[in-house]
Amino acid sequence: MAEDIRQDFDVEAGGRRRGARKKTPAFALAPDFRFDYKDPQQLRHFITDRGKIVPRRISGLSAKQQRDLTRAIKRARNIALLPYTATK
Amino acid sequence: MATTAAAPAKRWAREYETIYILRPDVGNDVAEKVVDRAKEVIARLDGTLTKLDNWGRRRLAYPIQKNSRGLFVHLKYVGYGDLVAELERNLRLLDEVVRFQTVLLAEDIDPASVSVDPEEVQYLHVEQEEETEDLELERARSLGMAPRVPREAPPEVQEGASEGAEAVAKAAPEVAAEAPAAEAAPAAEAAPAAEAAPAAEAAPAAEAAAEESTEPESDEDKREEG
Repeated sequence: MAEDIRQDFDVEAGGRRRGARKKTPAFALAPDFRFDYKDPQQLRHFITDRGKIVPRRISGLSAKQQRDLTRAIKRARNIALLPYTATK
Repeated sequence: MATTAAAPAKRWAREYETIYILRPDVGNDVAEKVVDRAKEVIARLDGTLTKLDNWGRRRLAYPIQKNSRGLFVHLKYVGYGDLVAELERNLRLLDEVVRFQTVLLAEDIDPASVSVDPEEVQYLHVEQEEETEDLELERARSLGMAPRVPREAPPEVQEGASEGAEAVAKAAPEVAAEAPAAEAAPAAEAAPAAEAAPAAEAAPAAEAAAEESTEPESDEDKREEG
């Protein structure tokens, strides 16, 4: 199931000249998956090295998931589990 | 809870969770005092503590009041709106608490239906475990090369020159990253420079390389769509 979705993304990526592919980590596609601000390791998949939230066109999440993700990341930032900015 | 059953209509409670961070240097007795105070507040305002979890001393993602670590405590409780206000007021009064955050978990909970596992509300002390990685970072910070204190980094970068370009890159001021030149510089040129050049020059160059290599996706996408 997850494999099929991956392939769909690849087809879509083929239309792009270059740049990022959509690839959602498999765990985020599970039906009962919820983003949890207390789990920074999981949220780290969705922030850049600089600490920015990865946009939807790259994360490949649904609108609802992306909203939940954004909320979770912002909460995690507030309680110092994730950085607001990072210099790397 | 049941003690205010005299209220005319049934009061629906809400479930909240609060995380607060204590300064890392507080002792077990102080940490316990804070927990006791939180418990007392919750009990006083007819709330029910359902979960109490000590996460131990953790590294903070960014320094708070110059602390790079903090003692995290996670509370889950059922109560009413005034409870959150009172609990947060109390946390604000305590100097040991450097940060706290309350999140609403569920609404319209029947307070009578809440059951508490006594083991869940036990406050356990977590022994401090020092990981080697943390020690290295601590050392880097003492040398002024830490990634999370960019303002103080530039003058001290020279000292840490021998530590290599990678460490220096972390300490490079954010200004370098924001400069348009950094983004424009091709990665191919920037990368060798970072390895060969002395620290003062390597810092911005390495930063540029990092900028190119870490975020090419978003940059290219912007160009593509814009």
